[in-house]
Amino acid sequence: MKPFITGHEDLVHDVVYDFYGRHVATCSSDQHIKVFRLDRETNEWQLSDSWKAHDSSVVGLDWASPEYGRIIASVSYDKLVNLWEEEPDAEECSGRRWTKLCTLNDATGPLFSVKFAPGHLGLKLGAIGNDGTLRIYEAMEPSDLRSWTLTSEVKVLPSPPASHLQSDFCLTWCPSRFSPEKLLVCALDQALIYQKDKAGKPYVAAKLEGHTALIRSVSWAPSVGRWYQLIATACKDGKVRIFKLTETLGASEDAMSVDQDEDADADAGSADTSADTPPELKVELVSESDDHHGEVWSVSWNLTGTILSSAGDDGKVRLWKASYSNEFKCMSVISAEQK
Amino acid sequence: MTANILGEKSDLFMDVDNLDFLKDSTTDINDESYMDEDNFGIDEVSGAIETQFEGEQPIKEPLSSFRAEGKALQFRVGPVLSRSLGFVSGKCQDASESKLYTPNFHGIDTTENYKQYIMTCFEIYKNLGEDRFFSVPTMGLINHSAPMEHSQAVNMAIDAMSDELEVFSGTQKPARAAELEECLAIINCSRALHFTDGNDNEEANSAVLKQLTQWVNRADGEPSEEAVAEAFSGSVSYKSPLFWRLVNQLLLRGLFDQAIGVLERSHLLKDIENTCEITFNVLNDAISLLKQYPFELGEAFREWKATALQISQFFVDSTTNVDPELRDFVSDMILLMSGNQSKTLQYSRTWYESFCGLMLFYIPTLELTEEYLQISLKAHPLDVCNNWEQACVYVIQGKLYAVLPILESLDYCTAVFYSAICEAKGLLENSSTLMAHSNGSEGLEGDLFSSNNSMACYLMHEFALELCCYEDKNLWSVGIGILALSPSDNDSAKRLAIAELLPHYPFQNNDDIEWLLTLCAKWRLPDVAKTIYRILGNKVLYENNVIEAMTNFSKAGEFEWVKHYSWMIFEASAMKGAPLEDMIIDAIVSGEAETEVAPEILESVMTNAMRQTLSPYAVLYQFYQQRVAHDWEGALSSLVSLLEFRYMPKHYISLLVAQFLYPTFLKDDTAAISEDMVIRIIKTLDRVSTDDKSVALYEALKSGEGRDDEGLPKQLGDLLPLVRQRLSYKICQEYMSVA
Repeated sequence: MKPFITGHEDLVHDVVYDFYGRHVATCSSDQHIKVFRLDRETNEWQLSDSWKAHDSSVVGLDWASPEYGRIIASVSYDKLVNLWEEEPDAEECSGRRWTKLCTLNDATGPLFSVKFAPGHLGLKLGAIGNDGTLRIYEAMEPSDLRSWTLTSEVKVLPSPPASHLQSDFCLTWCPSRFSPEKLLVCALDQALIYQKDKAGKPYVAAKLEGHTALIRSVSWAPSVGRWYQLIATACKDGKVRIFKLTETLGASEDAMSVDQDEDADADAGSADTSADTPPELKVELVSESDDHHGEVWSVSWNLTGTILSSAGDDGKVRLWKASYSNEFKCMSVISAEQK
Repeated sequence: MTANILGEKSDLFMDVDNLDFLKDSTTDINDESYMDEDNFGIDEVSGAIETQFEGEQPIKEPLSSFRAEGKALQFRVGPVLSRSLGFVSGKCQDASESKLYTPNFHGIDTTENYKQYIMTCFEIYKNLGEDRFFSVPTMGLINHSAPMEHSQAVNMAIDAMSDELEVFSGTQKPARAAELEECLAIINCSRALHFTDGNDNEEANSAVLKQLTQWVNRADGEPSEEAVAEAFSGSVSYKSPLFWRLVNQLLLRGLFDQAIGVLERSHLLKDIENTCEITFNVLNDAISLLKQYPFELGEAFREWKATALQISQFFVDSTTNVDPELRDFVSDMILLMSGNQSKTLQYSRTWYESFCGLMLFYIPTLELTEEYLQISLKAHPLDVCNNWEQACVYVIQGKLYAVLPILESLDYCTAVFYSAICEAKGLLENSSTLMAHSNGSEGLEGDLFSSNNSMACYLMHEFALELCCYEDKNLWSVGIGILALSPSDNDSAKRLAIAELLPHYPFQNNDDIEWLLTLCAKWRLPDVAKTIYRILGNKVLYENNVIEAMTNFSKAGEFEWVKHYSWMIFEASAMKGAPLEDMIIDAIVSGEAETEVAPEILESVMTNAMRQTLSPYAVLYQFYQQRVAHDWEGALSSLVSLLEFRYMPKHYISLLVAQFLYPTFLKDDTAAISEDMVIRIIKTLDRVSTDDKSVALYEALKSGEGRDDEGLPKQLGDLLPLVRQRLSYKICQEYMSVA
């Protein structure tokens, strides 16, 4: 498969695959979203449609689970989350194949990242941006995709970062269907895992410590055949970090685990240690590598959570894999430099 | 005749024991041009293999400029690994350079040949059946032949795997083929030393020696054509040390026919026949002895060796009439044949030639392999540039765990099934032993990758998951099959893995879906089945197949969705004012489904939830039929039933009134309505709403294509008074007719 031109007239911010990897959506500072469809015969990506999605740079997007149809969410510096649905009867490349379902306009600052929750949690999405607030929206009636409700609003940062400073925000949901709902939110150099308390209110269940600069990207590994979770972060401090998350029913003494009672008491006033209390999380840093010798821009796991990719300022993509002894090693490298 | 046969040296040396050598020895796998084929390099930081993106590279300028311009390299791993994409984000990007780049992954082979190889290896493993598990023979076994039968089954599996690898290797480009040849060398060495029947005997059997020579000769196809040419370059070839080096090398490698051929082709026997009878006879005896080399072994080898020693001693003690130098060469050959260690080491060029020579001529026993190896390595250190040499040393030493990472780096699939077969043979520790040794830190459950699993299980599980990153249904089946068949008895972890994987299966047709659902049933995964039904439902919905979508939503337990789409059908029909032209829907609601639709289709499509939720449409359909039949009383009764239906959404009441009640029954002065019926209608009018939805439907109804507005008022709000007015008229009409 040769490289192909996206046709974006400005820089590309995000590239996202659909559930089966047969469509790719891209977004750009040119305010457009483009969707490419894989032509099975030629094995090439073909433009399916392109449309102006926002009035400012489109910086993040995501596909909903196919359980709910073909839906894309996009976020922009225009502070809006837009939801789009594909009209299969509309012609390709007509600019009308994706119709806007609704706009969510609660953010007070430019938005950076949007991610749908995995399908088993229902049709919901999380979005975060420069106002430092995580917002979770749900389509309470999946048969009515135009109606979305803001179900949670969590201040991740006490105050928005100063506008003259560089900032970055990203989030990722725990994809496991066998683990209670949780998501990781990164705001500047903070990485916080939110879990729901008994009242359904998100609280900080754990922190991923050790980041000394902006977290550029985060990826939660699909936990296929594992009883624990793996999360990778890409950081401006030049490190690729992999954290192991274990759910424990007993009390944890791990430094990175945050006592639920403190937050829950303050927020919901309902923390006790009854049987239906969410499990506590034990976080371990299992790998930290500075192989990129510079800023790391993206991390992304494969479908089964066995291979991690990281891309950095050394102009290389590194692929990481755990050995039998559970040590992550660089298994191969893809150089992006013209030689 | 012999001369003719042996005339071509290429025939002589490149078809040894019918071994079809892959490449000639002039090909150097370290040759740059050889490696360029796949653009491999080595990353300086990690030492890992480095590839590039396909075609044009994302970073065209020097890296420092790229960074200085504020650009950033990003990468996304796709659900199908080979379709992952890299791109450049950051400042100052030229629009024409806004591209997505596909990487070249090392070790990710998407060719059909490789897929076939994987599937065949899996079949070989699967066909082992219960022999996939190694069990230590216990006292009091009823069937004493069981261990031997198990051993034979596993040996056959590794033989089959070796054959498949050979076939696969033959289809590959040189760089890849070289890696696979290294794998083959490792497997062949393992076969010789660990997968031959009768390993329990003191002396190695014929299979050991034959496979040993096959391993050495296949792994390193010496002697080369150049060496042969050099040996015969002089006017009298047998006077050259190179000639005798060649003969002895062939002997050490067990290539006896070829060694005899070389001797015969040199005319040595002919030349000395009349000059030195002793040497002539000794050589003839040696040749005869070689022809009788007892690969079958047992007592036969002792006798053979005794004869060789006798010939050797006889030659040493005899006076000969040949050049002293030639006498030494002949003596060396005879000594080598009689198992002389120093001659073996002297004439071998590599450790494996020495090893093979010692096994052939010293004492062919597996008990001395470690000793032979040490002697050989001391004389000829291994070439660390060849992966297979180090791995074969481990194989001979019985350190099979150390072989696996080397094999894994060469070919993952081979490493996986090799380890699985080794575990089946009892050469690698299995999970149950490991569990017994573990301190329980993993808990009872463990997972697919916990250290409670054996190395083979670990590799199999990893590989199974990797196969699910190809968008290939056959490989998916293999992946799930591996998980199911792996020797790990942790079924809950397997179930968990399969549950997470199945929704990602790239289904295309009904057979695929059947397969998915069968697995869901087999592994008791009802929630996963529901997810699959939801995905299917939405897929067919996008193909405008509402009924099938509803069927799937019903099976997914999404009754709200079934209800929603039933009302959508109702709405579409009511707006149209006629039945929907959908054979299946109409057949279902007409009550004639059984006669109009094949029962098996109906059974697969209709669910109880659908029967229930489609009932309002069924009544509407009945109304249409009564209308067509001019059964006005029946039609009105059906319509009123709908209006009275307690779950009828309010916005549809105004639609029914505007679309059917008013134009068909009220507007026409001649149509009489009974008093009872009028009262029933009046009661339902209390539920008529003028909310946004009702208004929107009313507007849409009025503006419908090709429709005269049936005298409907402009606003929905004006409809209700008009209807009431007409109902009053109807009551009056009724009184008048009674009077």
